[in-house]
Amino acid sequence: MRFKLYIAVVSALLLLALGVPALAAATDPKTFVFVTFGDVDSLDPAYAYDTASGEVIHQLYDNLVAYEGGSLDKIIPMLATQVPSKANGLISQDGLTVKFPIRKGVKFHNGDVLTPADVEYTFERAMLADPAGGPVWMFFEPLLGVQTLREVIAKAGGPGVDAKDFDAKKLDAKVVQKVYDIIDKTVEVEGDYVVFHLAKPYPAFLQILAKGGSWSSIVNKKWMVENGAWDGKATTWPKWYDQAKEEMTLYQKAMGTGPFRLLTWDRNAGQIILKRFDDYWRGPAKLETVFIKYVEEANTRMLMLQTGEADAAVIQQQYLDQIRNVKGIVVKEHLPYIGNTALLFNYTIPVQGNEDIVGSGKLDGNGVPPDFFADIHVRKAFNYAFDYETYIKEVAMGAGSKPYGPAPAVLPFVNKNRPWYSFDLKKAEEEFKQAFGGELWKKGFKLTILYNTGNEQRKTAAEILEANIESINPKFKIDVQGMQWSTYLSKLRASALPVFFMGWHMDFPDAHNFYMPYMHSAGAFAGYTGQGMVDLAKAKFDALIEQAISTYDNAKRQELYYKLQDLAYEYAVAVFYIEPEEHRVYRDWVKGVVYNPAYSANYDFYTIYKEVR
Amino acid sequence: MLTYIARRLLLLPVVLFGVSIFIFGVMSFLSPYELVSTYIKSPEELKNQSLDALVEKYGLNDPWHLRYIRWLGNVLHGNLGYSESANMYVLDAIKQRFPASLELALFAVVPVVFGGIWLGVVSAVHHNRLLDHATRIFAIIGWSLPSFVAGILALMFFYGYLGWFPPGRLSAWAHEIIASGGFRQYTGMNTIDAILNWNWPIFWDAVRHLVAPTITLAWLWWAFILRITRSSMLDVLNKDYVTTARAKGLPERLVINRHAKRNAMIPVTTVAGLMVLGLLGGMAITETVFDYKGIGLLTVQGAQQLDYTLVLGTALFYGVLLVIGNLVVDVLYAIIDPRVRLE
Amino acid sequence: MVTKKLLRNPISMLGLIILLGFVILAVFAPWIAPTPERYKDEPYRIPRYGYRATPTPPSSEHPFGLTQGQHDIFYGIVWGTRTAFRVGILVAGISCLIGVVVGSISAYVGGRVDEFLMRVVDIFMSFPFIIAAIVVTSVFGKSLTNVMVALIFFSWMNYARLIRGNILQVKQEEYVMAARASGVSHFKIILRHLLPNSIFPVLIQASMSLGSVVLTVAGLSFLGLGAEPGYADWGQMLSFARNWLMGTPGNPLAYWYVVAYPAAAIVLFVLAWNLIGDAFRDILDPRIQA
Repeated sequence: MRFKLYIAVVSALLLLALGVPALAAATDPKTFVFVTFGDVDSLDPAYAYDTASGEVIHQLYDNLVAYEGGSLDKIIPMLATQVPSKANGLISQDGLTVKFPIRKGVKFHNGDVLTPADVEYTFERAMLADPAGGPVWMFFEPLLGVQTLREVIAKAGGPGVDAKDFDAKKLDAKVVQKVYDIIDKTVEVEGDYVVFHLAKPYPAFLQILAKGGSWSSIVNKKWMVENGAWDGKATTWPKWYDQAKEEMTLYQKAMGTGPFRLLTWDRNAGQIILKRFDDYWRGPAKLETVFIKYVEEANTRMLMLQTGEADAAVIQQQYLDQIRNVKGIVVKEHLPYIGNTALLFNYTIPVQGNEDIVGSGKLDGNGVPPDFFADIHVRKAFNYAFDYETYIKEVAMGAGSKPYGPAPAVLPFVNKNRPWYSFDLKKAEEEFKQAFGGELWKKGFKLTILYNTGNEQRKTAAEILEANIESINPKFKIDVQGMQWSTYLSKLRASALPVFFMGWHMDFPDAHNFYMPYMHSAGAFAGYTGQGMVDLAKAKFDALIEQAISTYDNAKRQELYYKLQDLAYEYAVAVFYIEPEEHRVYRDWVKGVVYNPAYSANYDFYTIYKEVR
Repeated sequence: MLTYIARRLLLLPVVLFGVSIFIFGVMSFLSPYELVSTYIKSPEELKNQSLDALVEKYGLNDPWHLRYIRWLGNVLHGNLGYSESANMYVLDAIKQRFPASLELALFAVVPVVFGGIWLGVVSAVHHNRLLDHATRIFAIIGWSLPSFVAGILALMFFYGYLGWFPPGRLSAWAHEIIASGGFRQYTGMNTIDAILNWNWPIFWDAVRHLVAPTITLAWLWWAFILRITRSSMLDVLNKDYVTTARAKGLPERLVINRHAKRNAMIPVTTVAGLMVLGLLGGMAITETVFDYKGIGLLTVQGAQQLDYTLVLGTALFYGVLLVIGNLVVDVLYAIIDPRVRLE
Repeated sequence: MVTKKLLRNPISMLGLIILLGFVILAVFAPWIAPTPERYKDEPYRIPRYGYRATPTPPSSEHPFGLTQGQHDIFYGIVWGTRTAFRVGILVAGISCLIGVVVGSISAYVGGRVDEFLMRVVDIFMSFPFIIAAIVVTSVFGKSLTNVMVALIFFSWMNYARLIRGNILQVKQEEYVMAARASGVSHFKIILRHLLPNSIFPVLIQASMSLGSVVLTVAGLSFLGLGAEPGYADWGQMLSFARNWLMGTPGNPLAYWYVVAYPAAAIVLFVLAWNLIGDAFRDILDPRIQA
């Protein structure tokens, strides 16, 4: 028995010995631990298009220009020494040439000095690589008026955009050269300047280039070529066209001019470790080491923040009650976010093979006809039937506001005297009574609203609609069903979903970035909203959207976007139901946090320091 | 016995073929646009209409038997492919993640076996008395707990409340030392590597991260060991030599420790081997709770994202592990207990 | 005799009493927790009383409180009992059936067929079950049914082995030999003579696995594979409770009800089966016949 006592005592002591250091360990003022979830997709600025990757790239690289502090409208120089404008002559009078004087003496992490050639290389390499699903369309649109390199190749006499089994390596040498020539002409070095040649005036061009947009991070040409990236020659680029992401040079390496350098992307432990770059041109950062850790469980992240192991953490809105008012934890709420969520309609719902969603496919009370949402009264009725206030107050826990239309209210050119539809069952009933010449009210319908499983907020949004619409008329039946994300995606692709939820988060803070996906016939969602919507957009919206992005005249832009906002309302193009708000959660010893909604990063670690008592 | 081992090993390729065909077969129900979801994680990422470009890029349009042949060809050349969800080559992912899980399993076996044996002996010695019922119910409650509930409660208590045993595998400072090259990773098992590097701070740090999951696993598995110990103890306690020892007037403690316990241990030791396999198989949940980046967590995340390259790779790996592991257990059992003959 | 022993053993008595409670809950669910009119055709959908994303504490209308998204916990627990029994019985029953069919064919026919079937069993046993379950549910969609299918697919092998061993013993008995010699059909022999004399241990094993099936399903729910939130399933409820453990500042037990009720339900249910099972094994273990 005595022996057992020994074991008990020894193990108790051991537990204490193991545990106590954790209690004693104070937080290190030079090290910052940020816990979030998800994982980086790629560290290559030409490929990365998700916020987790943008978060890291933001710390490693600099852009030509930047936003001042938390502002969206004030753009300041960064790697360029001046911000181009018509006033200083760096933007030509026709708006087609934009010149950037490049800063001298800026060092990359390996000691190389930044040159205008690096800037030229950055953009040309990105455009010639054009990874599928990547962000490079943002260069093509202003510079060449196209969306992909495939379009350029087609223009240069190569295979058409829809040609199957395309292989850039098999392109004709002449086409290869010609494509290069086209791309080469868009960005050129002139002495200490880099000059961009635009296809048409593009007022949001500076926003695309500004810090916060990871795609415009300036890379080191010499280092890139040494490390196996495109060598800058006219004839060789097909080798690097649309590579597998893991084969891209910057996939897991980084060589920027940013305040931090990459120590490791430790995919094994699920973390990124950044070290301070002491030769940073704006002076070294205050933090020495930054950890970005990926922890999937929200509960674990909260605990890490509570114990102080983490300095900052991403915690979803609904869990904030658990840490708000906890001593030592700061919760900054109601921060602006440039994005919104909407329920979109499919104007031409396919029936064949889609019976599980549309039922009979007829206007007979057992399904919905293909043109169900082509009837404007149905769209309006849905807009009236959504309880915006309840959703924002209860589901979003008050973190958000009702949109005015496609573009979020934080952006310029939003007419705030023109509110969006509000919850009104009476009006919804009136609209339903007018739909299909009164037939719909008599016959009723049965509709399935699908959401991607795991997204509880969307499920609830659908159930709110379900409850409200079913209360209007007993013949109206709505069925809410969850669907695997993969299946949901393929249904979207086949434009088989009658209604679907979509969120849009800005690429760059400009109204254009919202009218394009929601209302243009070539926008991101046009493929899912059916031919009916495409026809409508072509007839009514496209020309206005294109005009609005082709002029620097702000008064003119405002007029056009106000008009588009009215049209969005008039045609009830979607149920825009929330513009969410952001929040940040960190320990009270964290100082110098700058929030800018245009950053894809949660934190800009350059300005942050820790004040440990 | 050698022929038996050879025959079992011959089964291995068949198992691996079956496993891969099964997964490919199931995956063949997916359309290219479902498979492409691996590369697009949420509707927010549907920026431009590049689904077709992605489908083309990753060859998802090909019929599944073509993809299978392509995959098989690569595997035969030792290339398990690149995992989109893990962001690394599948082989590297297994090489780096498996030691983590193994380390946890090996650590957990110790308290499970010793605690379980102790509980089993207590329960057998007090057969059908209150203490017997109490220990059994205690252990069975553990056996009846959803492992994630036990895990989360342990995490809340040991980390949230006491602040002792953090989640993850190492603290930030230890990771920094490893990333800066001041620490060589020989095995991927942090505790062993720390000893090999003679780095005691990291050793203690690694142990500290192992305690909470180990305690959780122990409670979950005690009932298993308790049952085996108890029944073999009861068996032995009825044997003639124990009765004789008792009759000789030996104190009860000596009877149990010297005579009964030793003989009752044989089945328990073989079961411990089986348990390591069981622990490894069911580790995904524990790893999720404690954010312990092992192979279970990796596989679950991969499978949820339909990352079939990763799923296939880890499934093959588990297949090998299970076939060989089961074989080892069987052989060990035959060696220890001569009554067992391998057919 | 066995029943008597079970009733005399305090451990199994405890199990039986708990189990009886659950049976009553399941049978009388429509009276204990009536389905509101609006949800009449979907009784397994837990009614919502609002949309708020944080849980609401117990009140007189909702004695167990409301989950995140305001689903009634009491309703979920009561109807979840039916789900638990359904999942347990279907998975244990069907996999037992498959096992019995495969095992008896294997044992009765013998030779090459036996060899082949046993190798198939080996292959299935070498299959990483969790991976397979996740693959099946990720491909065919996240739902309780698919989880059950995956479970059945990978749990019939033990029954097959068990019944095979038993039949191989019985097969040598004289009356079976006699029946064979007199030309009784194979099917009849298996059904009339072999199975009745060998199936008992298998049935016990199957019924004892009911609890662990429910536990496995809950685990898969935790990994994000089971029922959707709002479905009357304990595992689902518990898996969504995981993020409410911290409580609010100064009140660490602020959300206890979100966790405690479903956890208690699941633990008691599984415990009941395990207690009975443990006692059962004692009774059947020839080595403990003191």
